[in-house]
Amino acid sequence: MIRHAALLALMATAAQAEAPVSGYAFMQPETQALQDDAFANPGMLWVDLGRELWNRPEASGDSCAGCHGGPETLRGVGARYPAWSATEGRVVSLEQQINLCREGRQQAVPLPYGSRELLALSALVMHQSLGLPQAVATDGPAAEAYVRGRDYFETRRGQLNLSCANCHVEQAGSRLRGETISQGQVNGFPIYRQLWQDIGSAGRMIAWCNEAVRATQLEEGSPMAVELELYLRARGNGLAIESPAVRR
Amino acid sequence: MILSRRTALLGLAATILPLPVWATPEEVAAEIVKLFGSTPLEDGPITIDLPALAETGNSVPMTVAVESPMTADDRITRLAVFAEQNPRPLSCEVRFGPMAAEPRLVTNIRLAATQTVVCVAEHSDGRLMAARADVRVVVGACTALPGRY
Amino acid sequence: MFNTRILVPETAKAGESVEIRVMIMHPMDTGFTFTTQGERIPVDIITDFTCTYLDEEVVHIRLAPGLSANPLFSFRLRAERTGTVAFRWVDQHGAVTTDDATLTVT
Ligand code: HEC
Ligand code: HEC
Repeated sequence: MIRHAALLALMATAAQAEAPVSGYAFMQPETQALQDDAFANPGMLWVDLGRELWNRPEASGDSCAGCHGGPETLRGVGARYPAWSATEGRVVSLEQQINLCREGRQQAVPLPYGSRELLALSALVMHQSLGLPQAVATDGPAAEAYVRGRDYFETRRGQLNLSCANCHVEQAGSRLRGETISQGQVNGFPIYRQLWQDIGSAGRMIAWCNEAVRATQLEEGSPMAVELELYLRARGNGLAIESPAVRR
Repeated sequence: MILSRRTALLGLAATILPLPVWATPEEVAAEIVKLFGSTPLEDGPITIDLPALAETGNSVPMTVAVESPMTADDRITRLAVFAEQNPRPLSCEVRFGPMAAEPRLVTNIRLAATQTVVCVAEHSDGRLMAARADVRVVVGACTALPGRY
Repeated sequence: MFNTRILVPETAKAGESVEIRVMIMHPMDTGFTFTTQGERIPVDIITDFTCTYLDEEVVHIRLAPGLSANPLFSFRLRAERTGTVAFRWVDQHGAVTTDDATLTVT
């Protein structure tokens, strides 16, 4: 079990330095190879669909492309979301920023969370930052949101009375029903998850984890959910963006 | 004519080796007969490339290839993949047309549990060849953890 | 129409064995999974895929629920002369999705 030993060594070093480790390191080579295959990574189907939607004019006559140019002009943007929005007076997620442009600038209806279209557009935007270090700001007006997100992460909840940290900090690297628990990093989202046979947002992953401990669900897009995502991103600042990542 | 290594291999498979018929589970055996008729299965130069350990049965990368010159009268015409323990054993069936360069397919299959994968290839002369590979599956397709999200 | 990805090299030498890759966005529902409301999702699959080159068949694949969602295939054709590589997927309801690319043979 050389791989396992290597992973444990990696974890040990990570624990000492408290360095973030991507979920990628916890996958088998076949899963990693699928993610690294720019053609066969199934998440790329959503990136392609996102590109179609990017060029499609909405009610206002504008497409995303009409204002922004090519999606590559947004390189680096996905790596710093969720981010404080002065106009909204709160922290907004990338999905919310996309919907703000749709509603405010395209006179289009907001895309529902979990919809194929919203996942496709966010996969497209996140993919532009592939390989860039995650760099979410937690200073200034975002500082309070960061603290609330961290509190959520560290608070025990559900019938199993477990916090996110209980699994993703204390148990990272150990096994749970055939799964090796990772640090719960979000640098690969939206991820193509083999269990879902589908792509999913960080919100869907959090719902899955909350269901696992029989906790009350966080509504996707609620202030608490966005602040939690801000914290999740910030604790993995420096990790390379992998979107769309492939997970088991 | 100098026999190429490929032809030699095929010849070997057809004449020198005994023709073992594996004890394939009944349902798979019946499916094979349904698709290919009841010609006995021989050993053949089929390579099945599957990971020995798959962390998810929802998608297991597989490459199947048969050694064949693919000339007009010496070619592989069909290939089928069966997963013995799946509720429906057939994964896919491939027909190789005149423009195929090699009888080779790469795809991702679902495996319900740890099991044996069987590949059957049909030669243009009517012979049937088969090969198998074992895969240990950590989390099978269908046996998800909490399934609601 | 489903969203597809195809990979056909732009050029090849005559006689060369050329790798072709395809992927299509489709859930390939097995009939064994459930919605979040607990309802069973019926079988819904792509049943047939064909690739032709110079109007002759390269492969014809019959798909079953035993293939993963968003089916991926790669296979090889023998380059002869410049022409169209055409792809056709059919689902169980008879809906057809097509795509194609030109292979330039030198
Ligand atoms: C009972 C243990 C457990 C708890 C508690 C838990 N998770 Fe998870 N989580 C898992 C498992 C198992 C996985 C899938 C394997 C992996 O990547 O760790 C996972 C995966 C994740 C991932 C995906 C990681 C990646 O690389 O794609 C994220 C993000 C995540 N969890 C966040 C959270 C958050 C936020 C909470 C608290 C609301 C939480 N988890 C609570 C067990 C848990
Ligand atoms: C009518 C013009 C217009 C259209 C159409 C439009 N946007 Fe925007 N978008 C803007 C402006 C203006 C900003 C704010 C610029 C800034 O913050 O630097 C912005 C900001 C953004 C940002 C955040 C950029 C950052 O640096 O934080 C993202 C992401 C984005 N848009 C995505 C989209 C997507 C996806 C679409 C199509 C669904 C779209 N936009 C459509 C004008 C538009």
